[in-house]
Amino acid sequence: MDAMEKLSDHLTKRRPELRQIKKSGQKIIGYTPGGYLPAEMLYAAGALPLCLARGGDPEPVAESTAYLPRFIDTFCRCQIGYRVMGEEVLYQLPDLIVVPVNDVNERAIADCWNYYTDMETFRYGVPHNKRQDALDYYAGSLRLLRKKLESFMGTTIDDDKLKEEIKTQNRMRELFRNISYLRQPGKTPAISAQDFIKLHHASFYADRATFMVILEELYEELKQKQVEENDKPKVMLTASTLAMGDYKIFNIMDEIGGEFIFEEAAEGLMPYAHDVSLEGDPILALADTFFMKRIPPAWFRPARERVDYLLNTVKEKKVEGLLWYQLLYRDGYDIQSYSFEKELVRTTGLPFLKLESDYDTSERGQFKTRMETFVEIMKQRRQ
Amino acid sequence: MYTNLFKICGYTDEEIEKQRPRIEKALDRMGVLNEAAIKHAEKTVQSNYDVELLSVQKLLWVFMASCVDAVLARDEHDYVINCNWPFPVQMTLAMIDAAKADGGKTWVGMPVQIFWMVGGTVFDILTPVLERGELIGQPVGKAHCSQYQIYTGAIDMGILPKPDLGIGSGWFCDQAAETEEMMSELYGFEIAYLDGLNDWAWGAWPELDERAVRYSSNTIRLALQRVREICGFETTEEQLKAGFKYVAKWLYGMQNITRMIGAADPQPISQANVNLPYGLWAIATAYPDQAVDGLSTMVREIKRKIDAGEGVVPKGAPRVYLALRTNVDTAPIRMVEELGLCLPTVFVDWLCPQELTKSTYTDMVDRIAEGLYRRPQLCDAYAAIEYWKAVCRDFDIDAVIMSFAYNCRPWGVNPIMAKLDIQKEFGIPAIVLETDGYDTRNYSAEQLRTRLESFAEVVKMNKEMKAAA
Repeated sequence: MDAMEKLSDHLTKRRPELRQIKKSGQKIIGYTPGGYLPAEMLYAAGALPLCLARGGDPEPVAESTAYLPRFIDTFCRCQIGYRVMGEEVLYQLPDLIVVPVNDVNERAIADCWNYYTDMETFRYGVPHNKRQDALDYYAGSLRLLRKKLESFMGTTIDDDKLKEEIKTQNRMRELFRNISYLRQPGKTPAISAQDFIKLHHASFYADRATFMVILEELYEELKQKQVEENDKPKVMLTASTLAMGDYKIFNIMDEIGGEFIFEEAAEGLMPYAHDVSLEGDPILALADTFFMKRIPPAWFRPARERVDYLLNTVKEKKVEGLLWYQLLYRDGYDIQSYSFEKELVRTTGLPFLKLESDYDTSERGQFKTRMETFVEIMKQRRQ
Repeated sequence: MYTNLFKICGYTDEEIEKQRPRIEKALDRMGVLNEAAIKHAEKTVQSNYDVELLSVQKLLWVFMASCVDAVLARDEHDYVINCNWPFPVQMTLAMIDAAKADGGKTWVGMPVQIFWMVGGTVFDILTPVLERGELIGQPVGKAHCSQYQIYTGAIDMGILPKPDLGIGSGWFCDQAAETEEMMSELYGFEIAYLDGLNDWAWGAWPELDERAVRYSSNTIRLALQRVREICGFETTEEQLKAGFKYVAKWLYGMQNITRMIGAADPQPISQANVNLPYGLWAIATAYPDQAVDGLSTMVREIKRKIDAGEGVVPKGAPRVYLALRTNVDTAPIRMVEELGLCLPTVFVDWLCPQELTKSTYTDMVDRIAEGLYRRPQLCDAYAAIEYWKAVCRDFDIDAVIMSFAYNCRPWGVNPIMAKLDIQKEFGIPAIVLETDGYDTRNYSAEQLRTRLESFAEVVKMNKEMKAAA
């Protein structure tokens, strides 16, 4: 059995296992997947972290209309749907939900959990810029989180314990980086983007120890793997949310003969680009990695850092086009795409395709047609 | 050609004559310097407001004069500073004062809010401006804020000048700041953001989050500093205090109006007219004395009507709360009143007791940030719901129309929750209506009428049954 099969096997059993873990009295703390919550803090408190990142299904979106107006971002809207429909086990497990509030759409998730469920919710703010006062605020938010976790769990999160957890999470981040770096610029990747993203999603609810062993094995396997170079156009993906279960565009890309070789998303990926320093105050170190070093989402202002990152990355990764995937009504992404497309085309000449999803099955045909044209344009540009 | 229109809006012949070149330049830029547009404006303003009220004329004067100033700001000043909603009025007023004291080389104001008020309720010219905005990063059908579509459209069409500095609002919603960020990229002007966090713990309001207040007040300080660096003038503590004094005066007047209308039976004037003082509560003007005069006049006119027993709806009409002002079009308000329902208070006109808590902050800038966060509708859903429940209690409301703006994410979530809470707690009819604050195309007046007619029947029947019981 190879590592990916082992992971699949583990995940199949994981939901019932999590039910048992909860029954045994272990507290489970859920959180939203915006990348502003360091899971090591939850581990250090003795909680079992569970990132609620499910998306891609039309039914919870339809269900959510009873609770929210239709013009909230699709992913944020459907979160209450998953909870009230009761079919997704993960959404029934948490004893506490933590929501780092970064934009109004995310705040809607917290408001819905508060109003429509009996779940306790803890929210903290993430500022929209990287000035010193913003960093201080975010670090302050993490300190509040630490207090909340300590009182909720009845434990103490001392610096040594937190550093131990940071160390473990650093190893996980390192493994993610190692696996990601096996994807050479402009080359056929050793691991598909879809599998790489599924690793992120697995990290949200898999047993950490098991997952780390699998990641180690996978890295070794991929290092040995002989990758046969293909001539598929190489694409970079940037997204507002890459939710667990939302794999439509990856499947279509496979079908039409293109290939994602690198990805960036505001929500749905485990932040892995930077380790957390083990020196000094661990809260400040976490704030430095999770806030300052992180590529900001499109709702940050000023937006230049993210725009420059994307422009540099498309060159660095030697891609032939950029696919901008956003969910319906994610205002920040919709607005930023307007000026970004112009700048991308002006500075790199690369083709740009924007797709917008409401997790509706009927989108598939339209997506496929547009992606086929996109791939065709990239092929023609080679001639 | 436009004399009659400007006289409707409170201008004297002498003022029109004196201002003629400026008026014509501004009207021309707005695309309304022609007979047909002026005739249409005369009809529009009269359908939106009861222009026979002296207070309405006086308040319209303030808007018209401010609009001419905003459109000509670049022609008449070296620097232009735009402040955009949602924005602390005290801060803008203080900067306006500081700019005047500096010799007037800088224009400071809230141009888009002035423009949609005049462009919507006087000239009815917003549709092409919205359409232009839709072409610039805020496409139709994607629930982009129509206020910011107007802003983008008005600048792109050359109606409003590009500023040297925009002080953007990023403390309440995201769309405002996101659009300004895009505009700064496209048009090459700088933005200073007032930033904030929407992270109140559920149930915490009216307790203020000290961290959030301090963080936001720091962004206000940074913005004032940037104004100083760009335009060379300092906004002083005294000017900020004067801004507070003006707002306090205005709040007092508005609360008088709200209380008088709320307690009267029949409802003495249409809430459509209150659109004007509400607007000037939230929009800073360079004509504060004229604005206060208009407000005081409205208070006196309402009192006279109450004393005379005059009303715009039948005596004893069911008392209904309407949760949103459609700022650019008073038709939805008129529609409710025409259906025989009394509107004792609308939108956030009334200040609940928690908002009137004495400040514990001594620093003026901290107090600005605190003032923003005292308003329940600017915090979280819990606070908004508490406000609406307080309105129902305090105004003895028989039914609520939870109207909200299609595209306003911070305000879209709360009405659905509030409807459930109000029905449960007060046992009164409640309806949720999707409308818009700035784009009349986002709701159909006829469709609204159909829904409101049947709702009005239910409300009246409910009231009769209660009375019979």
